[in-house]
Amino acid sequence: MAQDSKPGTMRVSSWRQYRALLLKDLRQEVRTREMLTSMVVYALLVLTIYGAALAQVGDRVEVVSFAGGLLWALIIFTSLLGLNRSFSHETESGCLEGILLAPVDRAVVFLAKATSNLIFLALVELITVPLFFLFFLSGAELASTTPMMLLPLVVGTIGVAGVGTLLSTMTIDTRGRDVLLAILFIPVVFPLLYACVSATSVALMGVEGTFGTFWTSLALAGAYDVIMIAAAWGLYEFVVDA
Amino acid sequence: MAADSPVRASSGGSPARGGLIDRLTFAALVLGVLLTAIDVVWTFTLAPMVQGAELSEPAIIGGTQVTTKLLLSQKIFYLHVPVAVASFVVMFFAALWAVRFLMTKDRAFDLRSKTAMEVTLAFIVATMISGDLWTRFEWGVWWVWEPRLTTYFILMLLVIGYFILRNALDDPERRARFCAVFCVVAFIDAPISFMITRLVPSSIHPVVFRTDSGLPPMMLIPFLLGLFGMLFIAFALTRLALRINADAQEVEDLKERLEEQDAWKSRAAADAAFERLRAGAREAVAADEAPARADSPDASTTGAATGAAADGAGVSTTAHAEVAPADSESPDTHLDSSQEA
Repeated sequence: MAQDSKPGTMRVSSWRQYRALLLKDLRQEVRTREMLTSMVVYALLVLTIYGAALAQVGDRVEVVSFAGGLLWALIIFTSLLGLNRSFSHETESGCLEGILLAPVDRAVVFLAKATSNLIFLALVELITVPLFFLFFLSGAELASTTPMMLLPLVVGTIGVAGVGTLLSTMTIDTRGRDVLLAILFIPVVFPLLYACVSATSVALMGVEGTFGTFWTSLALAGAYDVIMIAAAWGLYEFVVDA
Repeated sequence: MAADSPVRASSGGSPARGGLIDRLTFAALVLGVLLTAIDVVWTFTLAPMVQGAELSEPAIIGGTQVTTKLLLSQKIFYLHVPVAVASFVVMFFAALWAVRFLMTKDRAFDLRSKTAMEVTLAFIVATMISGDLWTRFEWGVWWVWEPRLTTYFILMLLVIGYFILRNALDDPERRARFCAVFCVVAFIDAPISFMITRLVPSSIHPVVFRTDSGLPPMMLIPFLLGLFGMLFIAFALTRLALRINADAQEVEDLKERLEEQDAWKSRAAADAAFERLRAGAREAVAADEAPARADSPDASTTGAATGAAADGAGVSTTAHAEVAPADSESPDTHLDSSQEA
């Protein structure tokens, strides 16, 4: 939807539209704290379940060797919950219709929504990842390369937010949307998950000579991000106008 | 924008009945089956049982050295790979038609995309079954989380998800749009799955499509026969399924139109019945009026009859008799007078 650039009409720049939409989401979240609280509590519960699942493992087995997988399972499940909620108040109060009525480029709507989702996911990760380390890796000897796991974390979170925004928009008005989002989201995001888990595991283990895998996985995850976000961006206009 | 262009009913893009392609469908099916049959026969007779392309050197699997028994299962290759390739090709067309649907909003393309996805699912399931037999008898396990297997498994989940999404949406226009979008997103996994053996060289899956494949002619020919046979079968199946789906959609459309007309008709009938009832009521009123007129010949206005109906026959007759001169006045005064009486 191209904006009018007729002489005389006030043209609101895309950047300002983007900022307004993003600030609206953030303000809403600050006031209700609906998404963040539920995501953090859910993440805590998943960590509790991990505690039960690993109760008999003890310290003997190297938790480090599969910590990457556990961490990413936590992130995927938590973000699934958040993405489901991210559009619920948009439809409840008829907010989405209002946004769509405004002469705003659909790509801007997508970017704003994806950014707000990314911010919320990042905030939740800021709390849950340290907790994960505290609960499961406090006794283990961490490799010196551990901080490198932040790279796949960033790349992965961006991809999750991008794809998740597209898919959660598609599933808001469907029957049984919670389940449907999971059914669509998990397979679509799988390649990213695969790449991020292997990169994170390499970083956590810190074995010499395995860093080729780290960079390959990171490149794969980055390529996935670029392709998927480009596809979601291009396809978003077909998903929102109804 | 797309918002204000509703989905057009199938138009020029709809499958032509009895056209050239339609007539070719059956021929393609026969040809495909024939080629595949030759492939299978060749596989078990002429193709050598030597170390295949899959295992270029003897390997130890599950404690036993690879023997002829294990190499016999290599015959799966001649069907497994063509079916897998066909599934990618059909899915490519599904995504292509999905994109064309998004561009044109022509429902015929949605129908084609959906049909192609159905055929894709059939081929994917066939690939999974043959592939699973392969993993069991060549690699000694039922399942490995190996990159090719994993990405292909994900592809299957995506196609299944596509149909779940289709069922979860009621509005046909929105369903077509969302499914087309998801089809495109899902297709992104197909090239990944195809290329993964090149991207991740540690994969046990060999790179089949290369110029230096090293397949001897006696193995290459049946493989190619199977490949083309399977592609012909895929084409014919898509075409046949398209015919069935188009018929089904036409039936749905006709049903809808019939229901619409039915609704019109029943509404018209209801209107007519209402009119009849009204007329009947008028007649009944007139009939009521008639005896009243017979009782008092002076009471000629309908007002008298209404008054009679309201007050009861006995009262009214006396009233009529008493206030007969007032009858020519308005019904209200007549009513008042009858109550006084």
